[in-house]
Amino acid sequence: MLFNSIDFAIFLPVVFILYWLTRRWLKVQNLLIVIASYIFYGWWDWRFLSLIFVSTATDFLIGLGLEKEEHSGKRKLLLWTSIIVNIGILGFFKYYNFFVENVSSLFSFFGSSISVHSLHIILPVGISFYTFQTLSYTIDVYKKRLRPDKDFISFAAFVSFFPQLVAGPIERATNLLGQFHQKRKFTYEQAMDGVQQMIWGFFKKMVIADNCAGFANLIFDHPESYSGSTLVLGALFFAFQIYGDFSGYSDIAIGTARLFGFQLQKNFAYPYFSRDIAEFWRRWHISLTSWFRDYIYIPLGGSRGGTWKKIRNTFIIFLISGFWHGANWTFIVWGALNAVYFLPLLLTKRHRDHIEIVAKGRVLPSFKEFTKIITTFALTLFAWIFFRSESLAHAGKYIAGIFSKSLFTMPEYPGIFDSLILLFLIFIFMTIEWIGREKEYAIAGIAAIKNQYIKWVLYYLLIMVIFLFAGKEEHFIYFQF
Amino acid sequence: MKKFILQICCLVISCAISILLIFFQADGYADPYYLRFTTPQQSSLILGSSRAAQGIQPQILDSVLERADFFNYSFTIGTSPYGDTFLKSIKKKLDPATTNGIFILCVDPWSISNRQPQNLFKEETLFLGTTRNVNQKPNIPYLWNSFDDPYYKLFFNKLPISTRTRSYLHEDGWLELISASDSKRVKKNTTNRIREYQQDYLPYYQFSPERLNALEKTIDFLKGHGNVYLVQLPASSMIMQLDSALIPDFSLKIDSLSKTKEIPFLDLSRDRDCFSYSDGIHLTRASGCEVSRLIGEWISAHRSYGSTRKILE
Repeated sequence: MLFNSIDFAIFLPVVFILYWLTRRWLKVQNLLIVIASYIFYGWWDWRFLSLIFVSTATDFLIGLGLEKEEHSGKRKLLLWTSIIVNIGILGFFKYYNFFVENVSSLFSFFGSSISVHSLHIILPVGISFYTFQTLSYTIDVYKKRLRPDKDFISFAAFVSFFPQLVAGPIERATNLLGQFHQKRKFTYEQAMDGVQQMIWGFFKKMVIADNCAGFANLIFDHPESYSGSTLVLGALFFAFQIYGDFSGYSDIAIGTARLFGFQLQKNFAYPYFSRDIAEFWRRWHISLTSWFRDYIYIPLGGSRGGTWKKIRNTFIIFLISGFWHGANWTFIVWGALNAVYFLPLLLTKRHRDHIEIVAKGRVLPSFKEFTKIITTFALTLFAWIFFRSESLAHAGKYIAGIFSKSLFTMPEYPGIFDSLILLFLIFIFMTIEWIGREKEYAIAGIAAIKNQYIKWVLYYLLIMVIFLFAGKEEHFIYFQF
Repeated sequence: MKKFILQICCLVISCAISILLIFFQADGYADPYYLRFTTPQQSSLILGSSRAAQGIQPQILDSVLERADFFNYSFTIGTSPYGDTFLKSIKKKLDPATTNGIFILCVDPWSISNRQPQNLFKEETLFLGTTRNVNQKPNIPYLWNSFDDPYYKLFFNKLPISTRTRSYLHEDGWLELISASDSKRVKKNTTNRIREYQQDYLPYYQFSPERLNALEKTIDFLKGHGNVYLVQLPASSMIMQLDSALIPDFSLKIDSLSKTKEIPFLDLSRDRDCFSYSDGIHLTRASGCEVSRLIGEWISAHRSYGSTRKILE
């Protein structure tokens, strides 16, 4: 079920009303969340429900087992069981064909051949997200950072919570699980804030991302037909497509959760205003990068130790991050490129130079800050080419096309006039983001407007802008991960 | 909570009313298809692909044949080749009480061909297959589900920006192309079209016996409501060559069909050099006017001959 669909427009109010009607009974509310979440997830394909149930049941039981078990060897065995089950499910559905095809290619390279069978495997929506979510629970219980949950319904609700199930944020049990054990109270301000963030999320997704998708697809699908300058524009459209799509989804998820009294973690913090790559990775897909930091990077030693260890750990993290996104060498190269960007900052101890948001308390950035923002954006734009390309050859062709004589010609592609309107909308969008950059999300400040009429007129205008300018419906990009 | 629900309901209702008002603004500039789904049921139809949609002007036929009921219900190669989907839609568009309608079926090789694989009738999933009600104004299901552009285009498309090629769909279903028609633009459009047909269509299309069968069924159905006429519109020489490459014996097939069904067939492709085209395929306004007049006069002659024959018999 897509957030921007009639199905969801009917589903959400029904669940909302039933949820608050049962506010006196916490267990009933949690059960309602589980049922609603399973309906939401099963809407794609009911067969996927068995996987999420297996993942849920496995980690629930392992959590209980870890509490009872004191012997370190047996505890480790339980932990590894959880890791194998979760990563095994993920590995099979996401990476089986990739490994099979690459092993076959490797054998062919050495002059041998083996008979391998690719399988027609449908990737279950959200599998990369909820497996990591349940895995983090098991690891936290193992490390005794968290007591295991003894209530299966609460735990199942934590794993399957529909607003964040299919594309994050990847929640930690330490943040979300406890909220299922507390009575949720409806407050007008929280609900309105949730609606407001949802509206902003829909704007990012339907106006920015879906419109950019049309041009990005057009240009990326046939790079040989376009000039270097057009290819740069294509990469730019993709950069805003992926940002609008993913951060838009996160805003809708967080806003929806707020309607039910839940607080989800922030997933994007204005990453395109970053002054260096380290800051970018503190602001982009925060729930995933913090997961990798806490469960892989830090256990490996993090940025402590010798230079070679730092380099090794950095590459491991970025390569795994790339690989998490998909079974394609392009994602691995994308990850490696980001590691190359990040390393100089880490080795020169400049990776924590920019913690606070740029130009805090000021209207405009300084010239130096502006230059850094543009440079960082250009580096990420270049990396996005690999992320978007179908293959390394495709990425190579695209990049070669950019760095050709036609880079300095006027862009030319179908619908160029319409794309000028889109570029104007992107400008407005980034201006709003800039103005609201010190807040949780860009338009959070609207809630503080005292004049109710102005506030509601602004909501009405935003919704009408979404209606008038929404692009052709595209699937959320991160559903494929 | 009550305050929250009430305020959200007011917001939703305000937006819904605004959206409805916006939908009422949809007119012939909206897109090349919408208006055809907003008129009441019709009694005389022009059917075919975009060659017919742009090439045949109902008002000219009305004038020549002294009627006032011609309606152009033609779409594109992809959406209205002859088939079950098009026939179902025609049945919805036609006034079932019609007994003396005139039906002009424009045929070309693409309208009885299918993109591979053979059993793929893609138009079922496109707007002609999914628009259930084809006689409703405003046609909200069409605008909600099938209108391809952002909705601001409902207003933007009305603006006469000279460098843009625009189209205007008249109330009678004729699609008029409004654009600068300088020879440079026409040459560029023609080159692009030919390349499109050569690279994107010809390698993948094949004659479809199922579609020819569907054409026969369409003829049989329409004969029950009036007189049916087959017409092959002209196109530029290069396009006609591509047409022939697709189905080399196309004329023979249509000739044979016309004899079997005892309906007249007018082949204007032989006179292709007498007309001008905006892109090698679609007749210009002036040529479309001329072609429509020729078709009208031909139909008139056939009707007179038919009446005379009946008297003599």
